[in-house]
Amino acid sequence: MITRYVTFVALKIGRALLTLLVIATLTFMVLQMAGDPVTVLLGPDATDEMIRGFSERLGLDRSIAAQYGLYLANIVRGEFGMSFLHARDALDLVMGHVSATLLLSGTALLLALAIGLPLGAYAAIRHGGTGDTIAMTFAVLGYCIPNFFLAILLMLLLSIQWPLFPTAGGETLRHLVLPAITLGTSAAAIIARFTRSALLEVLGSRYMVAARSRRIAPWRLLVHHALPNAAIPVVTVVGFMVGGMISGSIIVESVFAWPGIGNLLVNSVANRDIPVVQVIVLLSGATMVVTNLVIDILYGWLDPRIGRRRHAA
Amino acid sequence: MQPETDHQIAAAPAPDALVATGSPHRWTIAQIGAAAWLALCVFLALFADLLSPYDLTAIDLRARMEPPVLLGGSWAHPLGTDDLGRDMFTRLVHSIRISILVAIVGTLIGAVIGTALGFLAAQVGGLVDDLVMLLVDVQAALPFMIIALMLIALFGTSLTLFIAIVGIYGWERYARIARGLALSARERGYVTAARAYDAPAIHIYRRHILPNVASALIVNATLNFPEIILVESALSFLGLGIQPPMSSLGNMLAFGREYLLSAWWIAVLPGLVIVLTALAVSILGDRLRDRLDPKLK
Repeated sequence: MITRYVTFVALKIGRALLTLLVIATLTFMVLQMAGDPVTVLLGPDATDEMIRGFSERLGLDRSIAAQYGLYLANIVRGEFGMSFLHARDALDLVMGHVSATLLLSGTALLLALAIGLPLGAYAAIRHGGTGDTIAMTFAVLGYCIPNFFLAILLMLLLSIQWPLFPTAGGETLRHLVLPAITLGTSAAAIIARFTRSALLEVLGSRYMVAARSRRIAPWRLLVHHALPNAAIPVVTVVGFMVGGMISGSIIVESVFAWPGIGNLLVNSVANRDIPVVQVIVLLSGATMVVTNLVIDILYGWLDPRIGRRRHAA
Repeated sequence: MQPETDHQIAAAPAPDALVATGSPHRWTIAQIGAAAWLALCVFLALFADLLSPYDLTAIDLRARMEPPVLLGGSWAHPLGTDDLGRDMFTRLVHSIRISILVAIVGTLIGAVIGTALGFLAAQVGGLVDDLVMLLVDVQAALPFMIIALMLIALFGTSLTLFIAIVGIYGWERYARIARGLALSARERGYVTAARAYDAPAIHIYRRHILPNVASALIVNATLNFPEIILVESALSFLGLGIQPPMSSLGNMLAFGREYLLSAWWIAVLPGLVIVLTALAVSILGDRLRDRLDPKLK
């Protein structure tokens, strides 16, 4: 049993490492296709000395295979080159923006859980009723209103009509409110939808009918029997949101000028600051892969059946 | 937590309230409204040049930021004007045309590439199959928005490249569906029979397998379409998609941001069009899904 679990975890880790390697390889290939790496990675203002050091570091005079090896080695060593927009080490620069993104995404996720879970559960219990309709209309609207439009509506309402919160920046906690609401709303809509459908499925299952026939109190039925079994799909969705937090916050950070990774990415793309873009691409891939790994391992632990299935990997 | 990622997981059907209750053949009010809105959009897109009262770039500085007619504007500009006095209705009509065009071409590219790779993986098997599935996994691990931004950073913002990038969106879902369905269809009698007659593989896929798996692929396309509209407008909103002087719903919204204080309609009108269109396609997509593929419900 234990060995089987260890094998399962080892397979998952191997798969995650392979995915990271493929992501790095694809990035390398795209960089190769983009043309002369000197102009792509160093920018237009590079001096001769910079170009010489750079060519040496990337092995530009050597074969593609050797360059690829050096590329991977540089990633492992954490050497991604300099941001030519900010004249700083690209990795340092990106790491300096991590905490802001974590703060924003974390707040938004808590908000989304606080709204989405009860809303979805309520809709499932009142299935087909007016409460269900209202809750699910909210969910559909939250899904169809793009972040950037919701951001603008909130600005119109809460910054311009009633000047309660600032529209841009990240200095105080008051700056956090609007981006967190924007980001949290669409997430709440998704969580509500998934909670509802997962709970509806559980509520219709045989063991729930059996439990109901034994006259177990409704709240006990919900808390002890239905919710734990409905948790797995909801955990999957939430895990997906955590793993995708960098890409998820790109637009909101950019609209509200929140000083996180997403905002940095948009500015770097607009200014073609490739070393920074590259770090963020790899970091975002790594975040997703690691989150998926953690969730997979958690599943294997929560539900022993998952580890045993042959094609679980 | 944002369109591009949540759509990948939010492939759940819309609530019953907005979809058919009772007979699947009866149209609900929401579905009729959705169909009417989409028909209007297609009509506007097809006849954009005939319908627009002004030239797309006609600037009238004496009529800057005029409000829509119901908010005190005049019938000369029924939906108002923007910061340069350009007619909002004209710009909206052209934006709808661009957005629909990009979404249709993008959906087609993704569908063709994904389906072809899925069929290839199912037919050849072995290493090719492993490679395709690995790419599918990698694509699922790397959010589309990140890939799109990287490609834009490296290759710039031309319209052709932008459509190609948008076309990549969602290919992995077609590949997964096509591969799975092809694998099970290959075992069916009609395919075995065709193979017994020495029909070439391409012929078998085109004439026998594709028609039998098409409904699932079409359903996936209806999920993909509104997402592509959102992705396109998000990238254009960030200033990295459709570039001026061409106008798209996303970049209109972005420019309108500057004038929220004095002329909010510049931003709000294109936003409303995006929301209504995404809503309409997903309502009709649910209907189509129920009709074509009851199993998915």
